[in-house]
Amino acid sequence: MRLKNLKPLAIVTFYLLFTVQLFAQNGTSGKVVNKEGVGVPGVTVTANGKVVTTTDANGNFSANVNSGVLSFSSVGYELATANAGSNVEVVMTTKVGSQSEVVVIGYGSVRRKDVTGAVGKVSAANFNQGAITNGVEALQGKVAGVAITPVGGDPNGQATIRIRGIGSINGNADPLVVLDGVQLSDAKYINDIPPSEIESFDILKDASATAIYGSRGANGVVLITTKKGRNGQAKVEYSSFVTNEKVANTVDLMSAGDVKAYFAANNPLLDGGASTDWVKAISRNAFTHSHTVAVSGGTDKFNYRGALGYYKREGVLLNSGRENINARLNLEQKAMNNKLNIQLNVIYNTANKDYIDYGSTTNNSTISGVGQESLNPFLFAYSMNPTNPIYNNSATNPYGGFYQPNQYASQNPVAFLSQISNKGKENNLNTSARLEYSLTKDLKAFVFGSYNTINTINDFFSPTTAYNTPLGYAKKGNFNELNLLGNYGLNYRKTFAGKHNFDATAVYEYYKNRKDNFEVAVQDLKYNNVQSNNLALAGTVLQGFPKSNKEEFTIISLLGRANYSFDGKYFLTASVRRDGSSKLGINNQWGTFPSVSAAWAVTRENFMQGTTKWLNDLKVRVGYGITGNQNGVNPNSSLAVIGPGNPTLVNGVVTTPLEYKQNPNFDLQWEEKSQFNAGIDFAVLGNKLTGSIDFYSGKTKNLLFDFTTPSATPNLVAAGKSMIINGGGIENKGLEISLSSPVINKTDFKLNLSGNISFNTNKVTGFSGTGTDKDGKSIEFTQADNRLNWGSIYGRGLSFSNVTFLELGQPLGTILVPHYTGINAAGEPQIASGDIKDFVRFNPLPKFVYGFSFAPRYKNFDAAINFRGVSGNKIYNGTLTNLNNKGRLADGDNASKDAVATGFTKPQISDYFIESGSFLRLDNMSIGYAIPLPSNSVIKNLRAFVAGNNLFIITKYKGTDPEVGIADNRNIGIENINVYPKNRSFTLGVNVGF
Amino acid sequence: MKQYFKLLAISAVLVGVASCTKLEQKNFSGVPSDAIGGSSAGPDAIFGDGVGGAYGKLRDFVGNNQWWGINEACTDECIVPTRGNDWGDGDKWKDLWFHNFRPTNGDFYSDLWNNSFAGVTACNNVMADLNKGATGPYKDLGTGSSSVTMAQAKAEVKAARAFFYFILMNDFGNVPIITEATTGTNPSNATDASDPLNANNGQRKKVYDFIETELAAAIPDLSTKKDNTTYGRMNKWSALALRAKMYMNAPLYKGVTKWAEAQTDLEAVISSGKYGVSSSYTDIFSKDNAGNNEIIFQIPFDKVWGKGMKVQMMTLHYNSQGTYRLAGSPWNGFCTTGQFFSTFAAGDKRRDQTFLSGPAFYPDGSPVKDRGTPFVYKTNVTAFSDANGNNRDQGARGVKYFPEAYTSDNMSNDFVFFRLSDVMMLLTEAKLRQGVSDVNFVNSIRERAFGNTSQNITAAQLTLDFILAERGREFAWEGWRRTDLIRFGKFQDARPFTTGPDASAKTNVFPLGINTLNGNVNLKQNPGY
Repeated sequence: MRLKNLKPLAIVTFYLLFTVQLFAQNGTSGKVVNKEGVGVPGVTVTANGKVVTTTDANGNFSANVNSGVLSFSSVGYELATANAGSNVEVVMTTKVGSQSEVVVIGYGSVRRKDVTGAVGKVSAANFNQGAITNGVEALQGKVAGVAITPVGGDPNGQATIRIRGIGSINGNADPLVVLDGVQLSDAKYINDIPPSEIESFDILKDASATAIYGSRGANGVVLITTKKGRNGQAKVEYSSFVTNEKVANTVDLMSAGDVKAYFAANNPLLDGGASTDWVKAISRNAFTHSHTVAVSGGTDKFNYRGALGYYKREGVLLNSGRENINARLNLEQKAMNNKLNIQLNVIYNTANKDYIDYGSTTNNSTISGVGQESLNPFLFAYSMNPTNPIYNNSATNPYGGFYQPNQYASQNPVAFLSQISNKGKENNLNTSARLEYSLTKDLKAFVFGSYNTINTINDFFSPTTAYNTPLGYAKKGNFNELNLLGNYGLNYRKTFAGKHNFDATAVYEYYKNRKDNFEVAVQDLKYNNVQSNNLALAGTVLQGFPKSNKEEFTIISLLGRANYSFDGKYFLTASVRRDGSSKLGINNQWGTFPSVSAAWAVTRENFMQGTTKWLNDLKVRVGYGITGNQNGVNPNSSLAVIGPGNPTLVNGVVTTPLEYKQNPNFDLQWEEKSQFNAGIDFAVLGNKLTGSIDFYSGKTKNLLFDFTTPSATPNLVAAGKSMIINGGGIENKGLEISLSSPVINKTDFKLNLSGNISFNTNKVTGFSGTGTDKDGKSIEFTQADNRLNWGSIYGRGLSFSNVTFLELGQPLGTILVPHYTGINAAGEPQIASGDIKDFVRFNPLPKFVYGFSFAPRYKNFDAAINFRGVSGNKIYNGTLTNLNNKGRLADGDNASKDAVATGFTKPQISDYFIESGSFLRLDNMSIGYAIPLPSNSVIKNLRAFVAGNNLFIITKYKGTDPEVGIADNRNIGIENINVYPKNRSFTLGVNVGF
Repeated sequence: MKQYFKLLAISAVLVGVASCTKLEQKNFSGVPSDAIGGSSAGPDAIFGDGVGGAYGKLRDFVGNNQWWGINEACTDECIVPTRGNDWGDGDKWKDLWFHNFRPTNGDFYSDLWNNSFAGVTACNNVMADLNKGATGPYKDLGTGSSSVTMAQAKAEVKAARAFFYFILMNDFGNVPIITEATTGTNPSNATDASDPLNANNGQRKKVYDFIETELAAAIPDLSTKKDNTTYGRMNKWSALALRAKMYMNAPLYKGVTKWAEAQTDLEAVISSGKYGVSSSYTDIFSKDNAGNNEIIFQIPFDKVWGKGMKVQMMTLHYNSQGTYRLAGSPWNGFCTTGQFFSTFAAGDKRRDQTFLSGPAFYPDGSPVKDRGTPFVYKTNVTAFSDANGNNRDQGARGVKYFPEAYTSDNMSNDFVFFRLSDVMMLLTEAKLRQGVSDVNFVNSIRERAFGNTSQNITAAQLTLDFILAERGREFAWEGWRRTDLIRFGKFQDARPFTTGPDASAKTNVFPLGINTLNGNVNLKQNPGY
């Protein structure tokens, strides 16, 4: 059946349905709808301060008013206004946090008042403003239990999202991100969603809510809903901002003057004669500009939204940056007597990235290695002798005009930042379609499919003038990813006897992820202008190249959920999902993830009538669920992996023998997390204070470990090498409190206060595990010690030295270091000797994290002030361990400001370098002004704003910023010299609507 | 009614597809397991490929943190001073020099254990495939043009595995014996309480017996060739040299003397006529040493395909990069002491062929500078550690494996494990220990060292002390000094900076690394650690 044929029928239906509306010519008539286009009943319509009518069951109204402004008000909705006229359409936006707001819960949605699990929602009106290029930064600090941390100010970095602590040790701890029903393969792809197109985030926190995502739900789920077109006149929106960013803070190093004075007294030969601030030399005042145009509109049958966006963001470090070009289209069509609903969604994003590698390893030794990309600008900027010049224009200088010290572990960072080109081009196409058909009044069938393809081309080039690559070096790689998702199912919704509400959903789902890549690295490139564009000119293809890889995994799922509520008082939700994943061992591919939760709306009870004066709403929720995690391990995790071994000579010919790289594990299974949640939602004092309190307790077992098998183990094909095993456990317990209050609510002046705080404790409960031998027989891998090495710091004279550990009964990454006992009579720092049992212990995880915001509004001015903080965690400052020692100065390397005074002569690990990681940050502040426009203006709305990000921070931490080591579990509680500095930025923006 | 049909139809589809729940594990990039060993043409080459995986592990033996560094930096010929912040590394180098071996010295001992067992595992995998016979990947051995028989192939795998076990026994004493036939999961090396021999050895003699049995079984079937087909691989002669080395140290491993057995094996190697004394000492270690006729067993290295040889990086001063045009700045670590440097007599060319001392220059003749002043390699090490790095120019540097331009940790020099001069010196020693003083071999080696016969010795001058000292000069930095010192009972002796000899003979073996012990609860630490 083709849609074209349906059109006349549809139009007829439309007229029939809205005859009342069309024939109400006299006075004002229209319809009040919510954002989903559904009529809102019972809305009070006022004109000149008098109530003129209320909307009917379908949201329609008519009033005997011929001119002026009408206001529309209803509990749970923001006030709306419209000019009098015929066929007026009014869209009511839900008041955030109110009981009628729609909450997306995955494979469906419910009204806030029906929610039984722990679910947080943030809508566009409450987003942080300013230089936001990554959507999730818009909800930093907004939701209790959800910690969002951007990686410094790296334009290509991704914000780390942790929901209710760290629930995985070696698996990936990122939550699942779902964009309009499309499950993203990696949370980092949020970077490819234009923030201005995001309508809301719904965050599923507890297991009873995330269990519907089964094996992908253990770390929580972030559901992103994008903006849609609405019934009504076409709207054009343009928004733009420019941002200026600077490095917010740097490590205090000795200045060129300090160093000169020290050299003069010790070894004047080390004075290079110049005066350079190397950190300043590698950073810059960076600009961003962003533009978005969106067009939206629709009729009753059809609505659309399209948007084009562009931004270019410079990084504060030389040569780093990102340019994004994106296009988006959303279409929705109703047909067949409104029984059929078709939605189409396309987002395309191209990102041009200029990377900087500030990775965790130093590599300054070889030109033959492929680790050539790891040139950490900070390591060299902190080390470089500040009396050295940046440039050397001598005719015989082989380094392209840059000064190079020709000294161990020393290199001009300005030179390699300027000379090396490290680029990536990422194209991300995300399309989806959804068809929903009403079989009966109560029963709907739906089909959903999505196709997501991501292609990245990386180009790396280091010219012959670069210090490390006298022969020139280039690498080119092509990375492809494909994600296919399809599901279909049935939804049944019915109310019996006016009190029994049923809502049940059953879905079958199929997901496939495929990745393939290709890479070549060459050297001996004589022509620097060619870069990586003609690799055939290279003299040598590096050993191990070209290389390519392809891998794929499939998840097949069956899931169901049933909601039952009685009389708006008692709510029960149960869900079950059965997932099979090809990643897992042949014996354990399938798992079942059930959940159950219940809620009781206490204030709906008759016996609570007496309390309505002060207690407006009270709901009690409890839930329990089991979820899984299989992120962070690759598709071949359960298989024996065979690859090239060390090349060898066979009969005079170089050959590459094959060898086992990974042991198979026939029993490999999911990480399994079970979580209990109990909470209350309340509104008191005439709705002046609303909030939620949630307690949770979760246990993760069968953690996925990339385990290095003991090398002396019989019956393994690759003893001493990796086996992905299940073992050990981790626990998270916590309490979350969110409060919100419209402190002042007058026509001209409003002030909203909101805040949240979350406490979490984390404990490692085991790390022994089980796998199988080559014949599939189960093997137990026990750990004799109750402590495993975990995170380390590194640097010259330190190699890789452990400072954090996995220890039974302790939080992940517990810090253990020797005690600094002060200085002796000779002024030399003393560190207590002894074994690890004598070391001092510190907790790298915060006791609590919090956020609070003020949102004042005065006439046409609006403002938002958002604070965020953490408290109680300790950081091991590895950067200062390296820099705070005057021994560096003997070689002419720079040291920290106080290195001479503190007396350290070598890098020594001790609790001297333990610092508090607590902070309070003014994350975001914005002031906007809606410029008043004449009613006949072409421009419907015009708003300008200024915003500042990271305006100040209160912390005792001496490093560049206390938010370190969050993205990688191994680096929790550790700062190494691998942090992209945090920025301070100011933004000027404008939004125009036509 | 129509609605219900629709519903029924849709339900049918749902159920139908829902039952399609087969998960396929697709391994696009992986090689099927039956392809192991099979990529080159011809059955001999296929086997070479398979066993090559085991030999390839040997390239993980020659480095600062590996077999070579650990066995050298605890002896009188090699020291790694702490120079300013460099080579502090949690005192692991200091502990090595002072014989304060600790299971927690970085990953020293676990890595040595793992690298050795990696070789064992590779051998076991090949042996398991060989045992499949006509159904395995090596079914064509001994047929057609194949000159390698199944028996020879098995012999070679046994010999290669015996080599890895020899390294393990020599460094750790008692280790679990794992072959392709071993079952169970967490093997034990539990000390045999009933062993009357030596509390420190425990099961070490069982490892010894295992190696002896394996080599005895293998030697008759091994290839006797020295050519492309045995380059970097075990042939009959390298297996004999290995067994002789074990026999020479049998008192330590098993508490028995095996001088006569050693003599028989050593004489067999010499009388094979396959090897000779290289006329040039430096040629044995040069980057082009692959075909040198003195070498019996070597680890092939190559700057392009066989990376990992990095002695130049470990030893040279940072700024010697320019002198030798190296591709990276060296690390200024390993050197020898003034005491050892002075054991070379005047005119002994081996001193400067082995160690670099004196002022350093760039190729254009201009002096290398460090901290602003011209740089000189000083032979005396006056401080083990110096906070300001003032000892950074101290100690003569090992240039036996001569630096190679445009390389860094990828030198092309093959590492020499066994060479004929060693066989000759061991034979001289075996005879002397049996009461026969034969100076012929010693003198031919000394004639090469001095360029003439002026420094030849007499039968009366040939003492065990002389042999140990001469071995030091001839084989400095070849990885065997620790084994030699232990055999001569000198390993625990005082060295520069130590306050006296080691307190206990426990230092004759290294401890098991902490990670090794953590990974297997059944393993027992060596006594005293």
